Amino acid sequence: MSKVAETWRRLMRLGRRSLLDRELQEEMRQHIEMQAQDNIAAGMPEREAYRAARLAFGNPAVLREQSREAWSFLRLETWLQDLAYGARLLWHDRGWALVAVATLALGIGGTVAIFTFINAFLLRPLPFHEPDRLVHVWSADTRLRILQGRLSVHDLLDLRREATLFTDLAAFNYTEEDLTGPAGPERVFAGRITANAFALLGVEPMLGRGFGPGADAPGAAREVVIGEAFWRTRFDADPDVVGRVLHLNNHPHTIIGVMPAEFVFPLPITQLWAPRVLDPSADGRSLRHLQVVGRLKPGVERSQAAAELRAIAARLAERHAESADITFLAVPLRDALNFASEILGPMSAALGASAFLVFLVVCANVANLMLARSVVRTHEMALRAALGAGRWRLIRQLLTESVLLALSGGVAGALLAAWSLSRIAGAVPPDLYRVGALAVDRDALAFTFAVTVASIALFGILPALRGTRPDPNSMLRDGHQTGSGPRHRRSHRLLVVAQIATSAVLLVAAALMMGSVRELRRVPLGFEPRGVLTAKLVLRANRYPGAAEVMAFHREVVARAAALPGVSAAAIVDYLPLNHEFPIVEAYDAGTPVAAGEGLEATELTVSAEYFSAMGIPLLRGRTFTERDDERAARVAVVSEGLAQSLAGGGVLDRTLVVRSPDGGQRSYTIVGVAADSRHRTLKDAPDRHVYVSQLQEPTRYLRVLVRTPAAPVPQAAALREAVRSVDPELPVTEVRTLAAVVQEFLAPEWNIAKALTENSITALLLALVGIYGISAFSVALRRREIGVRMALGATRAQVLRLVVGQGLRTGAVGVVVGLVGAYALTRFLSDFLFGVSAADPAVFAAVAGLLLACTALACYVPARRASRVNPVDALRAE
Amino acid sequence: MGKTPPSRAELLPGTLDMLILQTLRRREMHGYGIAQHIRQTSGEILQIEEGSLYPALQRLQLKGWLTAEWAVTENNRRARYYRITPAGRKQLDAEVAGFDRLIAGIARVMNPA
Repeated sequence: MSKVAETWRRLMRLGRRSLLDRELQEEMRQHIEMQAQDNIAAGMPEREAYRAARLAFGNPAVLREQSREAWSFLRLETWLQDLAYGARLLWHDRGWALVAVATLALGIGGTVAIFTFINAFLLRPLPFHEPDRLVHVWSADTRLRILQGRLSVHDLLDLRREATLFTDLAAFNYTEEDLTGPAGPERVFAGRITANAFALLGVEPMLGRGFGPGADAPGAAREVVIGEAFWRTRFDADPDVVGRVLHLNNHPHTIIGVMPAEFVFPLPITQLWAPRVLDPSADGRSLRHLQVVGRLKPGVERSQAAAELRAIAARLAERHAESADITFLAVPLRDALNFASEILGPMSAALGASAFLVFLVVCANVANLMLARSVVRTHEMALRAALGAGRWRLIRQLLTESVLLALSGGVAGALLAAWSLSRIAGAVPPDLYRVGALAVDRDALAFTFAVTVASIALFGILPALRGTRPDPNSMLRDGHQTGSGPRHRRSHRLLVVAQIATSAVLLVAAALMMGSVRELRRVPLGFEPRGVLTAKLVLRANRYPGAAEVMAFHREVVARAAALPGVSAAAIVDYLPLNHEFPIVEAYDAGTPVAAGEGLEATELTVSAEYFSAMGIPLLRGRTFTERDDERAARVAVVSEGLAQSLAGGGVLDRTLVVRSPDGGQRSYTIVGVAADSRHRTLKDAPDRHVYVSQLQEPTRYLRVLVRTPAAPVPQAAALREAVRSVDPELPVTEVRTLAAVVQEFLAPEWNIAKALTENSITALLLALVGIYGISAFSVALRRREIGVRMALGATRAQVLRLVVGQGLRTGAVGVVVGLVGAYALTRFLSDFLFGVSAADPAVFAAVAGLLLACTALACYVPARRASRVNPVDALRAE
Repeated sequence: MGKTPPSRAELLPGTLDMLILQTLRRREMHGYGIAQHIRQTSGEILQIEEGSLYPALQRLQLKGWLTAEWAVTENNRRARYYRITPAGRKQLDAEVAGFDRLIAGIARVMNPA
């Protein structure tokens, strides 16, 4: 209480300090005056009287100083003094400070960028109410070994009826829909959701309302809820947007609400939501197309829910033949929404670890810079200690400078992070599920602050303790020739070893990843991606109701695309290779029937006749499809060489192939041709087995147009769009890309990791080299006299050169050994991404060791040469 | 403290505050008056470095035990007059009691009964 009052009085004095000071001065003057007058009255001569009065009073300056403590905040002010002094010193050494701040910015910026990346993709809670209670339900087919299967409408309704541990279950799909309007046809990303989905996720529309009960019933009014971004860009954030109409897939839909920007579901690119119609009479039990999300009742664990789902699946399996091999799995919703979650985990670990290692190198480097500077300042510190500054006072001074450096580095680091995040944002697929933007936000700033504080601990404390080790006597006595003691040099060397070791780990990781990318690029694709342009088309059932209309469109589009100037072949296919979409089927020879699940796994593509020539896939035997293989003729198939070998040792022409799809459908084909193997799903395992069937016999609404142009394909994009538009002006043409770009994108995860690791390792290497150079140059400068003596005693320049470089190399060698051992221990965490190279590739390890030693020698050579030019006479006389 | 010139009787640490408060108990005074009063009433035994009053006066004001006001002396000089506050009186009583106990304790050690 009285402490509060005292602080208050102190504060009241704060603004009137000069007045208070003047008053005190006046009061003291009057005191002395009164004393002097009394002395005169007592008979003293005037001069003597004043002298005696002043003597009795004491030193007014000191007393005023003491009095002032009553109206100052002493501790705060000393700190401010330290700060101002530190800032002045740093400004004085601004070249040095700039290097330190830039170095810190590199380390802090890198960690902040990676943290923000990990935060958005893996850490930040999903933007729903109590997201921990949300689980995603997959179906698993035990026969076909499918783990992430979807559910049918019947499955959903059965679960809603029988599950007791869920408050509710909702279904969703992400789709692309055609939006027609005055701006021409375009495709929008939609979420098809059941009527209860918004309520289940616990997010309210910011405007209007969500879907009412029954909105997902067959024949319900067509309604749509739009996202905040869509509302802003298409409707200029019109508050009266509710009630307006959007033409989706050529049906008018009424806008009933706007969802807030934070609502990300099921994809970050989802622009609007429309009901997913649940019609159990129209959809078969085995038609499993729905993703299902459930909200657990409070207190229910995911494992309990999983057990209940299994029990329900077992009951359904007894009741329905279509559910015989089906069970249900419960996974965290985030893992299901983010379709790259299994890559992102190890990728984040690798990138996070590399950023952290760079951060350590940075701190070591700055610590070295601080040490070097503190050695120069030994004299200053010794002098201040001799004048009575306590050790704590000196440590505080040095730490204050570290704080200043770190804060500047933190600010610069945040800016750097913002820049690198904008680059990262361009490199990750926009449909990858994340919460929040890839930008420096509040979380990132908090993290920046934490890292900044950590950096002070890492780089500031050691030099502060070292630099203030109390021994003023010897330091002052030795004059300027100080700080070159073995203790200091050991600290320096330790830091250099740490830097080189860390660089070695990063270089090995980067080299292994680069090697993997190189090996992946060498994998024979089986097709020729160069010179092929592709585009995506989706034919809606309401405009192309039957196979006849679809087929007519196919014919027309292929014909017009093939007629484009410079096009040597045009074709259509349902799924592009290496594009993460593949229909898996089971295939077996009709002569040797097998039970479900026992057939050969194959990728089924529905292609037009020219597909093989457009893709550059050689036809090895037999023929491709022709105009005669139409819906009236017997079904024919082309198989890949691998499938042919597995089926019957290659001699498969005219045999009958049975293809069973996951929904249980089964069809027979006569094999008419064998195509060379090619890649579709992966580059890492064995080539895919392919079953190719004819678009003329099973036309698909979902398709890609391919044109091969011996000239550059990119300029053909406009012509290809125009060709499609001439057939159907209402049809959106999207994903117009070259096949080479598709393949490039497929390698993006490995390539991005390799690139990030390479950048990080080069940064670390450069920092380490700067560190080595600095230390070496510094030690040469300090040992000038010693070198002078050696040369005076007959050492040759070459010997001095060897001495200095040799010392650097010994330190470097220790770092390399430590680093390679560390790399051997750490790089196996990369093994998920490695391909064609061993995590312990001796060539890589040897190359990294060689590179590091060569760089170390180079970094020591420049100072060593300077040392060897020392003129012994000058060096000795300078003292 | 080490800079204080030798006085005839060293003040016990912390007693200066008590002496000032005691001096101001009856009437308000300026700094010079306080110094004179302490010297004279102690029979010249307690000779404080006069200037050291001023840091103490500032401290006591900060604690809320004294208030100060500028006024004119009988000799027509401007001087700051200090006055004890009720909180200051309470503090003085507490310090006197503590001091009495201390003296009594010392006396018992020096003159064991």
